[in-house]
Amino acid sequence: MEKAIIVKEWLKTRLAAAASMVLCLAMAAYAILKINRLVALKGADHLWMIMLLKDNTFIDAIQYTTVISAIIVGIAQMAPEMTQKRLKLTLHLPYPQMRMVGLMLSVGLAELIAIFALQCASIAVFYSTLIPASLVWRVVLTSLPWYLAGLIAYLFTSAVCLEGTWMRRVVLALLGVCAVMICYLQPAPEAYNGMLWMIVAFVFLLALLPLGSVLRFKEGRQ
Amino acid sequence: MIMKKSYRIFIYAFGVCALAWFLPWLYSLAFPSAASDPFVAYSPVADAFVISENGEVPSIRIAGSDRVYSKEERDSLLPQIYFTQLAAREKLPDSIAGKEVSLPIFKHSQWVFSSLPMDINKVQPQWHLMMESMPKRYELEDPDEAFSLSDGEVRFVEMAGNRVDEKRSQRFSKAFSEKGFAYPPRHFSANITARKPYDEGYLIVDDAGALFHVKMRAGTPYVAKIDMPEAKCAFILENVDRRLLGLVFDKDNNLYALERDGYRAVPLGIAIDPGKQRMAVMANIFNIVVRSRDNDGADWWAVDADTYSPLGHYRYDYPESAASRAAEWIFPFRLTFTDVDDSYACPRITNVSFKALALGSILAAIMLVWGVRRRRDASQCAAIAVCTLVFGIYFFIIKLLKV
Amino acid sequence: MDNNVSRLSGEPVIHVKDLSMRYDGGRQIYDGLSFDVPQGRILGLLGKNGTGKTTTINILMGYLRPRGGECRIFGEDIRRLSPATRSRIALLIEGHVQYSFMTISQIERFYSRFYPKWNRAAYYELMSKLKVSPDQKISTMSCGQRSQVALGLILAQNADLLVLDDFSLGLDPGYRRLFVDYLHQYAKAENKTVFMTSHIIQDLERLIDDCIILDYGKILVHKPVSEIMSEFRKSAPENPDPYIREREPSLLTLEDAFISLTGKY
Repeated sequence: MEKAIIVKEWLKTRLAAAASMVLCLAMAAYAILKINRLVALKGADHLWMIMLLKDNTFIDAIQYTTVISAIIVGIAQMAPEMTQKRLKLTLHLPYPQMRMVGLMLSVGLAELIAIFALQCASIAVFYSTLIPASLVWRVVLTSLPWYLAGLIAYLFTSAVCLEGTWMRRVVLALLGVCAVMICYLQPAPEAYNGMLWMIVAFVFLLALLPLGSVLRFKEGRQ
Repeated sequence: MIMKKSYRIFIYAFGVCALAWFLPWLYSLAFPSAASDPFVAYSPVADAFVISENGEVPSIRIAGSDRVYSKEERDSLLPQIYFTQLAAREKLPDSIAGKEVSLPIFKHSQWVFSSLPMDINKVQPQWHLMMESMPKRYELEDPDEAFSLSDGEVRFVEMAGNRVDEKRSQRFSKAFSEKGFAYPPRHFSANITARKPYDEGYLIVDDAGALFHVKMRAGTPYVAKIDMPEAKCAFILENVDRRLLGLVFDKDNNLYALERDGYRAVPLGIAIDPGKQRMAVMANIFNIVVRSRDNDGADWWAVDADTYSPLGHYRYDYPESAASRAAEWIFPFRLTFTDVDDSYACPRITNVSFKALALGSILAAIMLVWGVRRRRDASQCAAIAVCTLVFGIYFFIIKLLKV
Repeated sequence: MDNNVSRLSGEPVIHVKDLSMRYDGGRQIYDGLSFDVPQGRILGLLGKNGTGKTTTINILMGYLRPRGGECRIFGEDIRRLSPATRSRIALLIEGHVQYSFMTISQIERFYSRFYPKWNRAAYYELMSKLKVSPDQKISTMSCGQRSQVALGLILAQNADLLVLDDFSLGLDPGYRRLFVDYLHQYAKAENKTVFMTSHIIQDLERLIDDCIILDYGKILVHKPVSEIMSEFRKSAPENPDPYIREREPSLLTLEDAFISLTGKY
């Protein structure tokens, strides 16, 4: 049954996931090309100087791709469930309902994590030819809040799509904007190091939102 | 049931947090209350602070006096700053307060320095750039190597090829260990730029609070341990007059002037927390004026430029605006994630105000009446009222939205 | 609880007692609605638009919380239907909604994983009449074809209870009759219980055993169809509607009875 649910979610989201992956990798490639150009024109030592003195990581181009990808995947996955109230079909399947929704969310999250990991790895691998591991790690840590923002955006998009009432949708969307903004407030490298665990815990808690929307759907708030 | 309850609690808690973050921000945007400092300098002529305020009615006066001076009079009171004006009007004297003065002397002796808590309170990279202090062609050049002080050793990397320079690493590691450097370092300071008259490398505070002067001369290490009380942080100076090597704070936030010759650390009798207060230093042939700012106001200390003896202190408190006073009655607290004094992102509750309990209790009473009229059970009414009392306007709005 | 237990204990498959429903806007749908659907019976829920047919199905399937009352299916409270009980209920949602992003074969494979008594042959037998490729996406089919896929999936589940909300929507007359005949034979041969609604009452006469006619806020009639029809035919000569009064009683249909009871509008 789990396999069937995973396949169903994959069928819904594969195109969106592919589009998201293309977007993320294209922007990663753009960032890499920009760095490459800087190194070609001014040398690797100039890149070091800007990184160390100006706190620049040269990967700003990717920072919002995570959120855009997450929204694309979230809509592709959850909007079909609410078109013609198709969620009724899903909830009627002989499988524990909350576990079913949890599994659906896990598939979306797994797709996004895979896309984000690929994007992050491509940048890290490229950077490792230019700078030492500790600086590569600094770049990765700087980008981690953006990836977490993507996961937050996905869970809020899912909750908004699965929600049945417009008022609550608006409230959830506004809260979602606030939650995503938190991850973009401080541009300094590694600024979020002390808060990363809080954001991760927050992402786990956010899983309550789509589940709550489903509970409300079951109560007839549609 | 547990899931539904958890969902509701989460929505309420997150809603309150979002409003506690967003509403005060919106309020401060609507009612800005910017505080600006007056320009304060120490006059060697009047032997007192001269305060220039750019308010609705600009005024120039001497601290402790009500007399208002003209701009021309101010130029004469502060010749170390307005010497070009005085020279243009041919009013620059040959000597002031027993010291010979001229345009070149003023230019040679003046320097400014500033530090922001944000520059200290951030995650520093493990790698630092090292300049050559004695370049072959006498002109400073951009560095081509970076170093790190981790795992009990110095590692140099040639940046262009991302290759470790083993020989230099070993030489510096040896020099550091010979001077008893305790890894990892607490604080670094250097001015990495070729646009300066000379290079003094780094002032580094080690893990034990000992201060070191480190530079690279003709590719070889120069490491000197400076004798002074346990240091907290240090800032290197590379001024034209070459008199001071840096400004150093000890663990109790006392400020020292570190002389270049002999590494003499002289306490200035000024206490500033560089991690919390914004500091600016203006030095000239007569005096050194140190300014520190925090959210409540600004302090200026003047010390004699030759003897470092204290000359005076001036304090300016920022006036509290009506909007910020009103905010204390509206918002029980404020949630922020960033601060102007650091480069970290983390949640922090600020501006906790018990005055907002008054508004909270009115809103709680409204909630109570509304709950009774809707025939909610007593415990639910009480819980809503208590939450409204504590979280005030934030919880009230969430309830109004029928979330 | 399996079929035999249910039959032996005499417990109805669907038990509704004192059900009341009112939407947040304040409109009362009904109050004190009670009925039972016994094992092996085919019950049609009829009523004009807005009398609460789909609302009743939504309540029974746990997608709407009633104001009051008790609903049980196979003895279980509908608010807490276990996955095992849900596997015994085949649900057709109004509009024949299905996972339209899947193909005919993908959706068959998907559902087959959830239903232990899945009848693959029955599904493909119905699909063979559609003249579509197994790789065709449901979203690219016509409305009627989509309905047939949904009905095929319902029958393949081989469930003990079939809940069909407006099953005839979008079907052409030929397929509608085919399905009605197939469903009737299937339900009787396999002792299945069916709870259904439809707008096209003429089909139901050939299919259902019992009939509930809902009016705004109450049940007008809850009787076996044969009983309704015999009473209706007997009283036809006194019917105020000249069309019914002047017609040969044996030619009168359930639709005539329905209109006679509820009015033309």
